Amino acid sequence: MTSPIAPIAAISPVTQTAPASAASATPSTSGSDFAAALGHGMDAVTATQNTADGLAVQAATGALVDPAQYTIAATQAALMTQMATTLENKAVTAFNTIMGMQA
Amino acid sequence: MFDAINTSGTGLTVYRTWVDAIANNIANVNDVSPTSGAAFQAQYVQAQPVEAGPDGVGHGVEMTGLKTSSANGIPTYDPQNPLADANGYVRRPDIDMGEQMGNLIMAQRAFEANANLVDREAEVYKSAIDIGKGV
Repeated sequence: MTSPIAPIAAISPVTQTAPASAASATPSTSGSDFAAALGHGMDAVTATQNTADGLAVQAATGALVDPAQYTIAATQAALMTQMATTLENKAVTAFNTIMGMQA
Repeated sequence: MFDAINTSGTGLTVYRTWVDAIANNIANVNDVSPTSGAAFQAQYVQAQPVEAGPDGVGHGVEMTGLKTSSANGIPTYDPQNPLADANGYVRRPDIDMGEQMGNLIMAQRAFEANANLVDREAEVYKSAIDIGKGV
């Protein structure tokens, strides 16, 4: 004689862990996170590069009526990239300066 | 960002269109049509300034359309022409070659000026990006 096996009860959902209180314990600085800002900047850089890439394809296939459109987009993409890397380098320099501080 | 480059870009587009129109006009300068039809109509680029941005500075130039010269052209007496009507007349396009060449010089030089501006503006932006590089 077999006894019916009780179905396995659904696993109760894992209770969400509370956000680490240690992080919020430290006084947070106001203003937006640099990483987020840099991320948005990188999105803009990627967008201009995509524009330039699309125009480069058009130029290569002969579909581009206005060659200046491509060279302008390429110039803008180069400038955007230079600016993003400059900002990033500045931030890294600042970080290194702070990390190099000794009492 | 980098608005000045876009502004010069609008100039490049308009002047390239103007050169295209002049090329088309000059290419068709010797077209002959019968008096029953229209003569080749020269095309003229019409442009206007682009609306200013929030800072009040204009954002370049844009094409509003193409105007064409008269379809009557210049009725010319040319009885030997196979297209001539009973009275010996054909239509030739009303294009002044000197005017077209003058316009071409203006369009070419303005295009060059705008192209040079793009490079200069890129240099200006670069100098802004390079601020504090040596610090």
